[in-house]
Amino acid sequence: MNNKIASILVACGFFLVFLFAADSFTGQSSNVNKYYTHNALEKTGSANVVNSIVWDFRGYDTLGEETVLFTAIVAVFLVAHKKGLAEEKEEKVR
Amino acid sequence: MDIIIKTTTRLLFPLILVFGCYIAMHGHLSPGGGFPGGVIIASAVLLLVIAFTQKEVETQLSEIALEDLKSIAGIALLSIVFLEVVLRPDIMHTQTPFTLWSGGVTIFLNIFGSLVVAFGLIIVIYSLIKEEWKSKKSKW
Amino acid sequence: MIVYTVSLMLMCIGIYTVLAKESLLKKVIGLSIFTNGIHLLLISLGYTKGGLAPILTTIDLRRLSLFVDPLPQALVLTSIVIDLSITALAVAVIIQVHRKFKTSSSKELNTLRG
Repeated sequence: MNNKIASILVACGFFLVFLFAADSFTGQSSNVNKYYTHNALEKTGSANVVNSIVWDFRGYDTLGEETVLFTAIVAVFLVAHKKGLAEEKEEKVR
Repeated sequence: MDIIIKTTTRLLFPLILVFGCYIAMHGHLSPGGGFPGGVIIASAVLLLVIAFTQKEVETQLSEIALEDLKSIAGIALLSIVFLEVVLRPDIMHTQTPFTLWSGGVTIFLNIFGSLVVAFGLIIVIYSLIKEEWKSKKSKW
Repeated sequence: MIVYTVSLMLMCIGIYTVLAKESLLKKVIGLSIFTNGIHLLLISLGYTKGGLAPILTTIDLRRLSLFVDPLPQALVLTSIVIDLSITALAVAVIIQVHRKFKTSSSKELNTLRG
């Protein structure tokens, strides 16, 4: 019971702090966005601006993210198939 | 499972597969790209695993073959990236914009990226469902 | 302003679920809700009034200044894939904990000795 009251207070405090900081959120388009939308068709040839950013203008970030995904899949395969000590001793007895 | 679920799955599985391939290949013309297309292809195989038992599906799509296919797709992706950086081929002169064959090398990157994501997620699905839990005393 | 409040509500629900629930699987779901709230906030920062989706259909250069920002959308794509990897690895660890200790509630796991 004490745990739930404390966690409700933490969530409400988080909410109030960020509500006061939300006044300074303004959407400004910087110079980089104008460069990407004006030059995507000439330099890349694809009509989708987001796809040309992900695979062509910032392609090295996508390469690093594929490496992270690959490592996570190998780690899930190793963790889920590992047997403990008791099960290995059972298999040796059989 | 019931016969209604099995018949509906047999009708729906090729449609979901074709839809996922469409979103993955038209990445440079409409929203989508490599990653959502790979997830949709993996969810079609998840539908098969739910309707039929996991042992039957694994006789057709074995786990060892999937690991080799995922590694081959990853090596193909890396080789396309390094060949484009080193050789700089001039494919864009033979392409017309706003059609399927356009956008330089990004169409091949989309296809191989979706294959890596799809095969990897099928391996994750097999590993998490595989064995039955032995204890029946706990609540969760 | 309404979109900012909705994303803040999602973040608060996520934090409450991680702190107050007892089952380990519900904490992982709360972490995923918190991450999705942050993604919503990042995308909605780049909206301009009367904006269109950043996809070109004709070679028409007069409408280019009415597009919304495409850069936060590209960065959030990367973040969604990383969230998927975190959730998959956490669920695999929870399965192994359940196999060894026969329970998966954080209250009973706190009292184990040795």
